[in-house]
Amino acid sequence: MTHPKIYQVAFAKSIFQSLRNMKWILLFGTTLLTTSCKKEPSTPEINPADSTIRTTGIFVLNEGVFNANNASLTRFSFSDSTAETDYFFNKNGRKLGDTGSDLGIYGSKMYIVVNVSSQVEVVDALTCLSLKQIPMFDGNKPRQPRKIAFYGNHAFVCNFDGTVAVIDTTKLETVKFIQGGRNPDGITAAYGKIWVTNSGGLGFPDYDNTVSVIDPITLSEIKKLESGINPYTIHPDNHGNIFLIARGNYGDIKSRLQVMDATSGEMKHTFTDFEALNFIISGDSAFVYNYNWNAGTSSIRVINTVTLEVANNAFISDGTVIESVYGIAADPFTGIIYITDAGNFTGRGKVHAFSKSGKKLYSFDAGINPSGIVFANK
Amino acid sequence: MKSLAITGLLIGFCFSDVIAQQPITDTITIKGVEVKTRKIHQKEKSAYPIQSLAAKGIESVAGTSVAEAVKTFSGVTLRDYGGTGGLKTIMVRSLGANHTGVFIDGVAFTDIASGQVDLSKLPLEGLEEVSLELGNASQQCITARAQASASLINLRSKNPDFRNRKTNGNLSLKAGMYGLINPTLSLNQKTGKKSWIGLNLNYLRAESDYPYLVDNGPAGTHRETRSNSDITALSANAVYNFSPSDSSGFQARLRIYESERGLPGAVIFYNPHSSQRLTNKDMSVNLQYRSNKKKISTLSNAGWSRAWLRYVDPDYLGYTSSLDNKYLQQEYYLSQAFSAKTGKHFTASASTDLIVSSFSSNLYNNSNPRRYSLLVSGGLSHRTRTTETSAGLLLSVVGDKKDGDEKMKDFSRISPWANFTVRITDDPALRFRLMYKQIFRLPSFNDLYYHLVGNPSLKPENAGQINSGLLFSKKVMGSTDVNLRIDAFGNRVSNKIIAIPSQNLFVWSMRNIGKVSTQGIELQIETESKINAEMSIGISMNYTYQQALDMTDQNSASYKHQIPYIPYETFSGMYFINYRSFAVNYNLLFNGFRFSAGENVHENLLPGWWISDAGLSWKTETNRITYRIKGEISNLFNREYVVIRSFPMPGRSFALTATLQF
Repeated sequence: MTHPKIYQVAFAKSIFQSLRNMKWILLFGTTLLTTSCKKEPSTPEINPADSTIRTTGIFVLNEGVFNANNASLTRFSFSDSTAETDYFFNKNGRKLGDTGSDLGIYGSKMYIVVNVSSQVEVVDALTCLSLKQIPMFDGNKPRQPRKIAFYGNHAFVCNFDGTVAVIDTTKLETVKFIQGGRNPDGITAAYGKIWVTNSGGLGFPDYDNTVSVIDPITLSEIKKLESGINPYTIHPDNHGNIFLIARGNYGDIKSRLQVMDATSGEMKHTFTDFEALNFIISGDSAFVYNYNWNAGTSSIRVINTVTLEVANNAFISDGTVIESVYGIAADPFTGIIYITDAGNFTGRGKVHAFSKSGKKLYSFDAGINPSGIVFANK
Repeated sequence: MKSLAITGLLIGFCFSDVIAQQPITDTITIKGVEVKTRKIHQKEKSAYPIQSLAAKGIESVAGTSVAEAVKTFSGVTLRDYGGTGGLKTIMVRSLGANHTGVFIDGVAFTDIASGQVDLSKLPLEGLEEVSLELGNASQQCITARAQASASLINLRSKNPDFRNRKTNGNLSLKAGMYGLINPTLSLNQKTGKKSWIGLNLNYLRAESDYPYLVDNGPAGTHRETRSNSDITALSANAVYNFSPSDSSGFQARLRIYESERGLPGAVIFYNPHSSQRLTNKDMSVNLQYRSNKKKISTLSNAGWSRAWLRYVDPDYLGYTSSLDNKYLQQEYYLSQAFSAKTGKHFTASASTDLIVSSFSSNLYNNSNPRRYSLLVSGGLSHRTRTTETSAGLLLSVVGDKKDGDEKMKDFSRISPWANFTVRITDDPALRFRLMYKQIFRLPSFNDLYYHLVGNPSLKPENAGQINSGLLFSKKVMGSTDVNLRIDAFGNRVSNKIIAIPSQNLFVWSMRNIGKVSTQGIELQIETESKINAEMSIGISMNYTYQQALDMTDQNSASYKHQIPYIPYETFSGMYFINYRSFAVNYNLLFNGFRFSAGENVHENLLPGWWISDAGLSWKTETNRITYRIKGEISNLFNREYVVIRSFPMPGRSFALTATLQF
C-alpha cells in the first residue's frame, strides 16, 4: 500500500456509494427478514397434568398416521359429556408413539399396544398415568405388537414377527414369547384358550390361513386350525363359537365373516352375501361393518349369532352417514354401539354412539384414525 | 410475529430517515462511468423464467449435492430427508417432483420407476452452472425431451481452460463433521489441437450421525443421534471432446455413479432402530454432436444409460424375514434437433427424440414393462429489435409393453406453448414477459404397475402454467449491476396422480383424482457491485409467495386447503463480499409453515424455519497453481428443524475444503 491515505478514502467512498445504491435493496431484504405475510398458526396450550380421578367414560385409541408419531388417546367423560383428545399426552407429558393398534383394560390397568413404536404402554386405568412401557424387540429388531387379550395373570400380545408375548400383569414383564404363525393380526381369550389369527399379510400373495390355539396355562401353542386366507379380527359368541374375519387377497377372494366351532375347530359357516372388514359381538348380535374403498361408502350390518342369519342389512336407521367407518365397540352394560369414523384418514376422526335400534345418541370428536374403544370402570 | 412486523417497519423508517438526510452528491460520480459491455445472461431477458448460479455462486453453497444449489432458487421447495445421503427431490411452483426434468450437459437424467430424480446423487463439485428453467420451451436448438417437462434443472460441467498448457486439473479435499470426507480429482489433457480428454473422480463418504432432538413433550423430549445414515459414493466421469471448428463440437461422455447408503427412516418414538440399506449402480454413455452455423444449428444425441438399485430391509417381517429387492432400469435414446434462421425475423426449430426405457424387478407381478416414447417438437419464433414472440407444439406418443410384446398402455398428446417478451426501455433495461405452457407428466412405472398399488388405467397428470413478469436491469454507479425480476404465476393441475387407500390403510392405490390451483408471485433481486479492484459485494435475494389449493372435491375436508409440503412463503438470500484473496459469504434460507397432510389442521402443521450457512475462503495464485482453502458452516445458528415430518435435519456443522488447481 503505497498511498494508504488515498486508498482508504477512495475505499470508504466507494463502499459508501455502493451501499447507498443498495440501500433500498437492503431495506427490502430487512423488511422481508423480519416480516412474514402469512401468519403461522400458534401452538395450542397444553393442559398441565392433573391427577383428578374420573371414573366413568370411554377411552378411544387413535391410530394416528404411519411415521407421524401421533397415536393418541381420547377420553370421553359421561359425567360432563366432554371429549379430551391427547389425554395420554396431557397426563404423562409425552406421546404414545407411532401407530396405536389396540388397547384393553384388565383389572386396574389399561394396556395400549403401539405398533410401529413396538411398545406396550401400561397405564393406571383410572388416572391414565403410565406405569410401565414394555418394549417388544427381538434384539434391536422391532417385533411390531398388534393386538392384546387377557387371561388369568397374563396379557397376551400378538406380534407381527409371529410371536405371542406373555406379559405378567403384576410384574409387568414379558415372561415368554410363544412362536405362532405368520403376521398374527387378531387375538381373543375364550373357552379357556387364547385364539390368534395368523394373517401372513406380509407374505403377499401367499397369505396365511390359520388360527393358533394357545393354552394359557402351559403357555404354548396346542394346535393350528384352518380359516379363510388372511384372517384378522376374532371374537367369541359365548355359545361355543368363534367368529372371525378372513380378509382374502384384496382381489378375487373377498373379505368374509366366518364362524368356527370352538370345540371341533371346524369352520361352520362363511357369510358369502356381503364383504366384512371388522365386527363386534354384543349379546346374540354381531355388528359387522364394511368399507368400500372404491366407492368410499360405509355399511354396518347386524347378524344373529344364533341363527347365523342377517338380522338387519342397515343397522343405522336414522340416516346418520359414516364417512369412513374405522372401528366398532359395544358397551357391555348398556349395549350401546360405538362406531368410529376416520373421515379422510389424515384429519380428526369422530365417534358416534348408537342405540340398539340404530339411532344416533350422541357423537364426539376423537384424534386421527380412531379405531379401538374400551370402557372405563363404571 | 406481529412484533417482528413492527420491528421491520421501524427499521424501514430508520433507513428512509438516513436516506433523507444524505447530501445529494450523486452527480459527481458519473464522470467515472466505465463503459464495459457485459454479457447479458439469458435469465435477464428470457421470455420464460430462468434462474442460475454460476461457478462463484456454486462455490458459496455449503454441502455436497446439487440440491443445495437448487434450493436457493425461488419457487423451489426442496424435499430433503436429511443428511448427506438423504433423498432430495424438488417441487417447483408447487408441482410434484415428477414435473421437473434434470439434464446434465444436455443429457436427461431420469428415473422411470419413480419418475423423480434424487438430487443427492448429483455432486455439486465440478459444475460451471446450475440453472432452473420454468415453462421451458425453446426457440433454440434443444432436444424435444428438454421441452417435455414443466420445469428443468440444467447442470453444466466445467470446461477446461487450457490457456497455453497441455494439461490442467483440479485436486480437492473436503472434510467435515459427522464423518464427511470428499476428495475429488479432475484431470484434462489436450490430445491434439482440437481435442482433449477429461477425467473426473468424486468420492464421498459421510456418517451423517448428527444429533437431533426427539420432540416428545415435556417428559419425553431428549436428544438422539441419527443412525444408519451413512453413505459411500463414487462418481466418475470421462469425456472426450473434439472440436473441428469453433462452431461445431463432438463430445463423448461416460458417467458412473455407485453408492451404498443407509436409510435412517422416520424418527419413531421409543424405537430408534433402523437398518434399511440402498445400493445404486448407475452408468451412462452419451455421444453428442453440436453445430452452430450462421443460419442453421443442429444438435444430435445418442446414448444409453443403466441404473441398478438394491433395497434391503432386514427388519421386514414377511415370509423371508428380510426384504431384498433389486431393480434394473435401462434407457436408449436418439435425438436430433435443429433450428434455422429464415429471413430477417424468423427462426424455426424442430426436434425429435426416440426413447426406449425398460425396467425389470420382482415388483410388478413379474411383468417387466418397457416404454417407447417418440417426442416431436416444432416451434417458430419471430424477433424484432425489441420483441420476441415464440410458439410451438410438442407431440408425445408413448406406448408401454410387457414381456412378449403384450401392449399395456398407449397414449398420445399434443402440448402447446407460447411466449412473448418485449423490451420497453433500453436503459435501464426494462422488459415484460408472458409465457404459457401446457404439459403433462406421465405416470411412472411405479404408479402404473407396482403390485397392489399400481393402477394401469392411469392417465397423465396435466399441468398448465402461465407466467407474466417484469425484468429490470441497470448498471448504476458504473460498477453495480442491479437485476430485478417480478413474476406472477398460475398453475393448474388436473388428473393429479395421488395415492389413496384402496383396501385398507396399508394398501394404497394410485388415482387420477386430484385438482390443484396455484397462484403466486416471485421476486428476485440480484446485484453485484465492484467497489474497486480489490473488493466486490454481491447480494441476491429470492422471495416466493404461493397459494396452492386442493380443488379436488368440494365435500372433502381438505377442499381449498394448501396442499401438503408447500409453504406459502419461501425466501433465500445469498450475500458475499470478496476482498483481495478472501471471500466471505452468508446464505439464508426460509421456508414458511406448511402442512404435512391435506387437511390444514394443527396436527398436520410443520413450523417454518430460517437456516443460515456461512463460508470464508482464501485463495492465492502462483504462475501455475491456484490454492484455495474454504471453511463453511452449515446451519450456523444450530436450528432444530424438519423439512419432511419425522425426518430431522442436521444442526450446525463445519467443513473445510482445500483445493489445488493446476
